Amino acid sequence: MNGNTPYIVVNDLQKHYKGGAIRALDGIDFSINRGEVVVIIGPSGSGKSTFLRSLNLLEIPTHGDIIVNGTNIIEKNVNIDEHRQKMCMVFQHFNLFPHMTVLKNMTLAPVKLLKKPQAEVETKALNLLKRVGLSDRAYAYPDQLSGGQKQRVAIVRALMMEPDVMLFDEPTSALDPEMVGEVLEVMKELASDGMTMVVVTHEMGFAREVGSRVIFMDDGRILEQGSPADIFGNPQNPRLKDFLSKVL
Amino acid sequence: MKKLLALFFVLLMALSLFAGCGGNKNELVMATNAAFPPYEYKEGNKIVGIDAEIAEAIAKKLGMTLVIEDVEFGAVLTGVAQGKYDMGMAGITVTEDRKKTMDFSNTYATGIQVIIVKDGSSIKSLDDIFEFNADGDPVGLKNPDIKVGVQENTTGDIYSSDAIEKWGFNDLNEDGSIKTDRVVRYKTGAEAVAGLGTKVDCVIIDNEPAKSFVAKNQGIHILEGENEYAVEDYAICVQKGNTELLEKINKALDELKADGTIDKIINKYIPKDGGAS
Amino acid sequence: MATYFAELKNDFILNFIDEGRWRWLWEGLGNTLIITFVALLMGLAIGIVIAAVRSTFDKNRESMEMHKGFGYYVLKLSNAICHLYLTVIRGTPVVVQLLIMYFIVFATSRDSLMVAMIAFGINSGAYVAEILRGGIMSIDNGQFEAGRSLGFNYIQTMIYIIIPQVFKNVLPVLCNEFIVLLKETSVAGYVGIVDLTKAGDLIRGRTFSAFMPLIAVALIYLIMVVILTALVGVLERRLRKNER
Repeated sequence: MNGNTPYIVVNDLQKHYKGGAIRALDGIDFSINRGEVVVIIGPSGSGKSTFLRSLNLLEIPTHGDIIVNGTNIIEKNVNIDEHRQKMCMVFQHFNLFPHMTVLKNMTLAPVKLLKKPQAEVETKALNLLKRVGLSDRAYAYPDQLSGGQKQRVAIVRALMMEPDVMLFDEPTSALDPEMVGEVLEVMKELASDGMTMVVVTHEMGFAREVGSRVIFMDDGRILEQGSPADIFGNPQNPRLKDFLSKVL
Repeated sequence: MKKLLALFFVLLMALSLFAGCGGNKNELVMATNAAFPPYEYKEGNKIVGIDAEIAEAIAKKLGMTLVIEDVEFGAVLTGVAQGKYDMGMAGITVTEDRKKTMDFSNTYATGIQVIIVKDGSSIKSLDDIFEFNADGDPVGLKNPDIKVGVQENTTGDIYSSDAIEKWGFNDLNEDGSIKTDRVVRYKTGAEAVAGLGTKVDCVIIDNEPAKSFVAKNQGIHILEGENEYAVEDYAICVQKGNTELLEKINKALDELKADGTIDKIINKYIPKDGGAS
Repeated sequence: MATYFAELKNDFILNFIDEGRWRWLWEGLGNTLIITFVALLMGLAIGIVIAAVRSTFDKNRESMEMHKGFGYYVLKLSNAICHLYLTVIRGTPVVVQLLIMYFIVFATSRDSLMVAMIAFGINSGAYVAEILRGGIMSIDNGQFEAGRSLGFNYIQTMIYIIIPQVFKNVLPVLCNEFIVLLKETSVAGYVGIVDLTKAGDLIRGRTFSAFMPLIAVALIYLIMVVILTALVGVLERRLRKNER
């Protein structure tokens, strides 16, 4: 793949419920280049989480194409599990494995899936924990961590797979306000390291500061997209104006 | 926990002290197991049969109302022994063991234990089941894999559960105790008969119900001739020490025998020509 | 009171010592335990398979409907069969199942013990299956999604992430099922097996006393259940400790 082709291209993506009566996604066209940070904003129920989760097929789209690195992952003979190893996801509710230590949470997938030696993986995990300021919690269980710590662990757990792109599904929404900052800090660092990211969030500050592009979604459609400066400084769509007036 | 358990058992024992202190109006409560034709069986919801009719006649003589309780055969015996019922009438055979825990009336009928087999069975007579010594006592089994079906706790069960030397079906363990694995004990005689040929090789049961079962089931028969497994007397049982009731019952039985009522009842259910009914 | 205890002693001797009647109980206990144990293993095996089929169908229905392949139809059929099995087994009393097994399905088998093990095993399988499926379904779907999003396939997610959590959650319920099973085998006497309950009945039928044999049988069941419950408690505490 040469650098000119977008890393992910989505064509006319649709997700129907009840035989088409409800359209969670109603024809999404989207693309993202390597190194881009796309932030998706919009009111709740706008379909932004559904869209993000469609990108690694946690939601099964009813119609449309998702072409990742040249492969349409909707196709029948595509091994979706291999693709997911390159498109790791961070969830609103962290979803750490409660029966494993932090270290085990991080090393499970690389050891079992990438067949890397345990010692090497552990060293890497400890380094990553150090980077996010959690080196002393390697042997703790998730129940013993605060929300912000859990989410930082979830992010480094995803990083252990050395993904090409990271999907963030409202990563700070379940956190107490004082913990939001520590998580966003880690995400900013990732962005500055050149990680390709798709982030669904209500953190407008993060969108403005870190996003290379901001997308506004409502009713299962992309209503407006552009640079943070355009979206926040010069919104065109009346619904976007309305939305921004409420959240800012 | 230990204290709780102890308390539980003290309570249980206390309760058992009161057992038997039931109300006693002008009722004569008879326990039976109504799955033993023609002595007692159900016609619709009504319990009929030789025992039921004799009991009715006795109750009439005593000026009491007869109440029949239909329970499992083992519960008839236990219930009478505990004083839960006034008397037990269920084709009950008088045995020495039973005499230890309950009192029996005079005999009113004779029962014979017979052996039912499937048509075409290799068992044609007792000689095909037991090895006999010169005195005519059994000393072993012809076929060690033989299984015998019985109704649990009936005399058929008790006889066949014994060691071979006592005309049972079981070997002895090294320590002299009896092995118990050749006898299959069912809740009813009918279930034992249902297992004939597949589950068990023969069924040991009282003669009269045996006739009924054979009449109602194709392809089985009673071993004929001198193959009576055991002859025994049927009597009414009452709680041990209840001589007052026992004497009344005996008196009534004697009168009923004298005036031919008992013969009439038995003939009604067991025609003399031998045809099973 | 003294005479009462003397009577109690005589009663004890009559019921358990005379003619070695305690042997009935010993033999009955052995049969009860072997039936329960084998039925438990069978029930676990059946339950795991059924729960796997049912929850796989439930969890993957949507993604498999996207491309309806051969596997989808196999799974759908298996799921329907499992559903039928669960409905029939849970909708009929175990005594009736036992009698059907004994007199109809295995009409020509003389091994009542084996028939009883199979009947109770098949019965228990249905309950174990639903316990396990309930356990799997009770795990937050986020756990499942987290596993899949890291690149684990369905089976790997189940083995590494879901099952260990399910096991801990359902262990007490499973043990309870074991205890229920132990007590349920008391109907084995219907097919001529001398289990613990029947052993008590047989003693009763020979001594005509109710108290001793029944209380003895009740006590033996009770002791077994109390011991089992205590063991479950220990196991539970140990599992919980592992998490902290």
